[in-house]
Amino acid sequence: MFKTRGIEKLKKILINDKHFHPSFFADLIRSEMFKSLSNYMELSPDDVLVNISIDEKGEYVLRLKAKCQRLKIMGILPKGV
Amino acid sequence: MARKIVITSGKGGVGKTTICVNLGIALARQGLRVMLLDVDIGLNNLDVVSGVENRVVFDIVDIIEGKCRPTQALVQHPNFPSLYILPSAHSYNVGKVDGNTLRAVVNGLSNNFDYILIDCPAGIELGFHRAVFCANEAIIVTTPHISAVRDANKVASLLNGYYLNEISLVCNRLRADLVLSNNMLKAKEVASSLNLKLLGIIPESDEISSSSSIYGDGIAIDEQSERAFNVLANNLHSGSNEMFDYTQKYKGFFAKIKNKLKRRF
Repeated sequence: MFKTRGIEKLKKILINDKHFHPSFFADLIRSEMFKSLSNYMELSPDDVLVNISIDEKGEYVLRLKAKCQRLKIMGILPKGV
Repeated sequence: MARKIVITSGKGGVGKTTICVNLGIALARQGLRVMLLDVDIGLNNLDVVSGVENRVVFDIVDIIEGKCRPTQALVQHPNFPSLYILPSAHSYNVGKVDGNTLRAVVNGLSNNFDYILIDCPAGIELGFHRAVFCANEAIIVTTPHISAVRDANKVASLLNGYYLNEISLVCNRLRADLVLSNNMLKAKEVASSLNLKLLGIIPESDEISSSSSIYGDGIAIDEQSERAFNVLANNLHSGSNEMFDYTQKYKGFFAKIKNKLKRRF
């Protein structure tokens, strides 16, 4: 009885805290980067790699790698238009 | 090349230093060369818990400042010859000790040992990151209390960012009577909540508590704790997955009657 209540409470707390997980942010950034980059490049979601690590000072380091088959041809507007 | 393992928890008072010392002793008993490194600069206790505080001449900061060689600062344990302690400084401007320098010291000593156990400070501040930066594996210590498990979860999330080879869990201070009467979480339940591999179970020990209160050292002197630490050391060294049965003396007909009477009076 007491233990079931404890496990339930623990689960709730841990589920809320999961939002701090770096891989959660990495997946989120990856999907947004793919959306943004696909305006300029022809790539698949697997071509975008996002890695979040922590250095010795505790600062987050974001590494982004994207590769594509070809760049999209962009129409460039003349100056002043 | 030594296995460099950081012993961390997030929450203070869960038994990081005690587990660091006793795990080191259990490994040293198997004939392995072990170094215990105290990274808790300013609030160091590893020398006291291991009982070598009177033998300390140099510390980690003396090495960093070039006052001594790393091997000169090592303190050999009087009772366990293959166990060495590298103490931390009592008071120091911690800003001078950065993760890269500390890692260089650890890597320099790595060839002389089989295991380097790094005692991490509580919290997730700079000291935590410095300690984790030196390691390639981590052991998270927690007690079966919700606040400690929550902090262990946060620490596990942070450790994911370091891409360590392995992150495992040790559940400390379990009480068999409370677990059997469903008034305390089991170690397996804690491990599954955290999604971590359970490396070992350490039961609550009155002997360790009173030893740390009276003598200052937290070396396991009772048979049950000693056996629990030996099982933990075996799991770490050989990769086995055996769990110490701390509920044994509470099982059986007579044990149940004895415990019921004990609780009533």
